Amino acid sequence: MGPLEGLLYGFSVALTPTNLFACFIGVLVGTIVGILPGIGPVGAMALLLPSTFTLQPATALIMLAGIYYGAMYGGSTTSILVNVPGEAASVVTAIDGYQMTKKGRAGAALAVAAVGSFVAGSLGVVGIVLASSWLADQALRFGPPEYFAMAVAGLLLLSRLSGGSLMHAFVMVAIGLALGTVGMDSISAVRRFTFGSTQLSQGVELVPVIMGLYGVAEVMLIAEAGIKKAHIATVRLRELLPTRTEWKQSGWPIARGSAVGFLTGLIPGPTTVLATFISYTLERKISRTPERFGQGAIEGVAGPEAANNGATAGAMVPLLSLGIPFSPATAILLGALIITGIQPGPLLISQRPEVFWGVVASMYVGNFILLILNLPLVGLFVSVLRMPQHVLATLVLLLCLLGAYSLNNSQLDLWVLVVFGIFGYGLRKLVIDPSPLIVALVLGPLMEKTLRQALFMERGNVLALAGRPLTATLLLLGAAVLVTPPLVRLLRGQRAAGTPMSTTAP
Amino acid sequence: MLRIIAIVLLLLAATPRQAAAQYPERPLTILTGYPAGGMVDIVSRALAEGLKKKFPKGIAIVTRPGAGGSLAVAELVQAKPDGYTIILAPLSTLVIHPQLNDLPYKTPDDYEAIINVVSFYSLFVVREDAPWKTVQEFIAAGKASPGKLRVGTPGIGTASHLNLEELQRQAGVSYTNVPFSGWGESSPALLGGHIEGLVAQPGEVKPLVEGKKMRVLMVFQAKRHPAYPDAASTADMGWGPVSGVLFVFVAPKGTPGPVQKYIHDAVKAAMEEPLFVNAIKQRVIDIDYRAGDQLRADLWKEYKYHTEILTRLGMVKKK
Repeated sequence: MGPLEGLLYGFSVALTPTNLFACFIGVLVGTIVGILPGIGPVGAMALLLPSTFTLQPATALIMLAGIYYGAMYGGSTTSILVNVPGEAASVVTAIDGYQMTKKGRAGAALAVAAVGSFVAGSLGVVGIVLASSWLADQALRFGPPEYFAMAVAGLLLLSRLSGGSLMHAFVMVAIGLALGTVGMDSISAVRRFTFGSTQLSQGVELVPVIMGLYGVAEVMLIAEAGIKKAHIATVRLRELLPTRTEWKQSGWPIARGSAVGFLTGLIPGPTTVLATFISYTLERKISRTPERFGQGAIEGVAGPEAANNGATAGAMVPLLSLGIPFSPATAILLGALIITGIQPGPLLISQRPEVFWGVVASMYVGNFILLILNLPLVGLFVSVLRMPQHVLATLVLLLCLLGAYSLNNSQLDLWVLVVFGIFGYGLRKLVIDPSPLIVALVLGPLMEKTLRQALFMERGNVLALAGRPLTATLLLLGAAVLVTPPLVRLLRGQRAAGTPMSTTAP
Repeated sequence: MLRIIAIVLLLLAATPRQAAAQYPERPLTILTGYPAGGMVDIVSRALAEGLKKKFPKGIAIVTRPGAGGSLAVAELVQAKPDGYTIILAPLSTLVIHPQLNDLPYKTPDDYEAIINVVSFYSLFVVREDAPWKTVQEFIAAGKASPGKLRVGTPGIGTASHLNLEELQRQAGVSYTNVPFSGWGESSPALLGGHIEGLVAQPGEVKPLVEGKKMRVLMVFQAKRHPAYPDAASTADMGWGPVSGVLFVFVAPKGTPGPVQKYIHDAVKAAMEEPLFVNAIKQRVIDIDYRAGDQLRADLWKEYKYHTEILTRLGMVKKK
């Protein structure tokens, strides 16, 4: 079956009433858990897993995958409206999304986020259809040394997300890296910095840290400001939609975000989070007006929101073409397939084409449903802002607590939430951006683990790592991007300083 | 007054019998120490479907990942021994982790092992296009250049890692162990040629063997595996007994006998449900019923066997 034939066959599977309904339920649940801060797609998928036991394999997968990418649509909503990320993958969206809300452009931000997600999801399907097995083979060329190089480059490049002081970013990164070492290390089962506590051996989770730094801190700021009338006046329908300029500004960021997201999704780890950081940094770096970022630049919403959806599509590639789950969410999809009697692997596409093509086609259908589901909801979501702030803040706090607990059913996560809530409040008072901490907490453990694996592989020979062409290229790339801007500035500065001298000399 | 005393006496006499007859009057919580979608999660959820009839108030699967699965067992042994909290624990969390780390449970005497549901053994795979067709060839290659060949395992101190150590000891060969945190990481490393061999589980490798991407050279069990008849067994290699993986339902110490029996009977019945049988067949592992004194004796045997291995490797926690 060729790609086009396969996709058409896939639509015939995905559009049967049962599968269409499963897809609708999946994306609806996904949108809802995406909106609720702290409660993520992984928890929801695990909860709904038993209900798929009696379903056909394709139907089960269509529904659960719908939750996965559906959550990427909903995640942006609270980021944009109340500065509380609904998912870890929507932290970045809050930076400019919330600023847009303050300027009365909440509707535009939400609409662009939905459209960006749709475009990325659709392009992702095209990527899977055309090049799934080729992409999977390419992804395999990356081993631990390459992942280490990517993590190092990522840490260097992404830790100065929203500009700001180098010193602040440095301290935040250090705290994030240190936090990443707490708990049982995944290589040798040794406990570190647990002070004898069995609880602490689970480590410091990303989600409660994010919910604390952003959600709880925001609630405390609202509480401090006292009860006020909502600061957004009534929004007219016309103002809900992006203006022509805003569309124009979003076009390329969405396209780049889709590509960045899809490619990032091909590697193991928390790629939906990483993809958004990469996309945001990229947009700010290549923008002609980088000073607009952090002040409500629509590119800062469009790019990352496309990227996180693109990453969910990319993550489906190793699952569908090799049967290997690269992330917790795809591990659940794999589990669902196994229980319904299917072993996904290289032969899935030929042995069970209805599953492979059905799911791929359903992702397109699902993204379409999400778009028509989310665009009309923009008005409804914006009206949330008219809710009295003390009610909204209480609701957010409750959801953060619930979400943090639901993650591991752990009380420790609640304490992490509280501690980082207070810490985040302090940072806001000092006007320090906590995002470098998040980047370091995501990349630190990955960097440590892959470095150790790489050194095992090369039997401790550090130089052998640099001898791997891909590793060296990635490290050089990171160094180049880091060194180039100051170098350019330096050269420009010299020329600028040199010009007047040469004119005055004669 | 007399009537009141009579009523009180009647109540006292009736209460224990009633309590036993009423179990379960609350939902059952099954803890698992691993994230959703993994093997333990799949087995416990598939079993929970079959358990529903015997637990009409409902069953909650609570995933409590962390510390390689031992965190959940640590919470279980500290839970109330009322029969409403049990755990599905893999052997490694029961006999390996408490010897590596300081945990609130030490030996099989510190909890009630109720029933074992499945068992399976690790196996050794290489890439389909690798030059080694048999495990003997891989051993010979290892002897020719000690430490050069790299073999992935799911982490130091896991059952698979100990299997690799056993292979090196028995064959007198040395490989470089590259620890990963599971199949999702280790299999791409093997397929991408970043390592030469991999210790993995039967169900994981099956689709990749069928898809002509991996070849099984050896199974770490006494008998050859029906799904991989060409792979050598430990008996073929002339080894002694090796350790596999068991999934045991465990309750806190002091859980009443009748309650344990209720759980045992319910799980035993659920092990025959088609949904569970099929899910297990998909993972090419075996349903393995063990209970009572035999299970306790098996756990003690495994515990002592691992004390020996871990001491030899210098991994036992220093007091």
